[in-house]
Amino acid sequence: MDIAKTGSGAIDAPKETTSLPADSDIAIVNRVKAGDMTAFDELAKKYRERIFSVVYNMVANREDAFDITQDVFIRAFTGINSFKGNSGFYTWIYRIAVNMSISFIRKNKLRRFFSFENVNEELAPSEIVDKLMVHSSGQKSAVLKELREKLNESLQTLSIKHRTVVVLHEIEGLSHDEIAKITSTTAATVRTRLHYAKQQLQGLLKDYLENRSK
Amino acid sequence: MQKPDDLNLEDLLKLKRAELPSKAEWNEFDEGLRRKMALCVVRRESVWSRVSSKIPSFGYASAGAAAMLLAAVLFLPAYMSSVDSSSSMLPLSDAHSESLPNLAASFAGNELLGMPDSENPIAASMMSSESAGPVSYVSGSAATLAGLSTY
Repeated sequence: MDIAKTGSGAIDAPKETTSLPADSDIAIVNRVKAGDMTAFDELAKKYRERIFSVVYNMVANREDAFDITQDVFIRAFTGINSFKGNSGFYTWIYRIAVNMSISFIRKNKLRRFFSFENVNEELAPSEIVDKLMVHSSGQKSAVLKELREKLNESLQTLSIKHRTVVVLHEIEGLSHDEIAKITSTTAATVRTRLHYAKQQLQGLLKDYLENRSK
Repeated sequence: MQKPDDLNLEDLLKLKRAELPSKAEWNEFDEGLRRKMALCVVRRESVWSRVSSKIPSFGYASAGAAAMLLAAVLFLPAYMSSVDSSSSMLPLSDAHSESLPNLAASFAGNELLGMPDSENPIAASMMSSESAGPVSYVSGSAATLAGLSTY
C-alpha cells in the first residue's frame, strides 16, 4: 500500500499501487535479448492486463484496445535491444503504451466510436459496490452499467494529457514519480494535471455523486 | 462534510479496474500476439536473406569496384596530405626570411645614371613630351630608389 500526496499537500486515501518488481524483469529481458522468445511470453502475460487497461481507458474502444495492446508488445519485442535497463521494464512498456494510444487518438480523431467492456462484478471492490447500492433501488448490474457509461463519457471529455494522468494514477495506481518518468515530465506537473483533471471530473459527475450520497 | 458511506470520485474510478476482458478473450489475445510475433521474426529473417542472396549476384566486377571505392575513400585523404607536404612551394614561415636583391648595387652599373639630363635620352624625351601628365610616385619602388619617376 502506498500513500500518495496530492498537489495541495493533502494526503489521498491509501492507494493500492501495483508493485512492479523491476529486477526480475531485467533477467527476463536479458533472456529475450539472447533470443529466447518464450521469455517474452512471460513478460506479455505479466503486463497484458495493465497495458490493456491503460490503452482501453485512453482510446475508449475495446477492439482498438486489443489491437493496440498487441502492437505495444510487438513494438517492445522488436525494440528490446534499445531497452538499456536504465529504468524499469514496466516504465518502458507503459511509455510505449501511452505513446501509441496518444498517436492512435490523434490519427482517429474524426472517426471514433466508443465501445466498452462490461464491469466484471467479481473484480469490482465490494465496499465501493456496497456504497453504490446503498442509495440505489435498481439491480446491481444496471447500476454498474449506468455508472460505467457516465464515467467513460466524462473521461473522454478530458484532454489527452489529463486523461493520461487520471488513467495512470487513479485507475492503474501508479505514483506521481512513476507517471513523471512515463510521460517525461516532472512529478509536480503530474500533480498539477491530476488536480485539474479531477476538478473537471468532479464537475461532470457532480449530479451523479450527489444523487448517490443523499 | 462527506459521510463514510458517501461515494467519491476515486471510488468510481477504482471501479474502472474491473472493466476487463474475459479469460476466453485473453486466450484469443495471446494467440494473436504469438502470430504477430512469429510474422515479425519471419519478416526480419526474410529481409536478411533477401539482402544476403543479392550479394553473390553482383559478381566479381561489382565486388572489385566496391573494393576500389572503399580503398579510395580510405587512402585518398592520406595521399592528398602527402602530396601537399612534398610540393615545391616554400612554406609560409620561410617567405619573410628570404632577402630581396640589392637594388642599389644592380643600378650602380647603369651608365645612364651618371649622365646629365640633357644627354640622357630617356630624361630628354620625358622633358620634351607635351602630353606628359602629372608625375606619380610609387614610394619604395625600384624606380624611385633609382631616382626615376614612374607613370
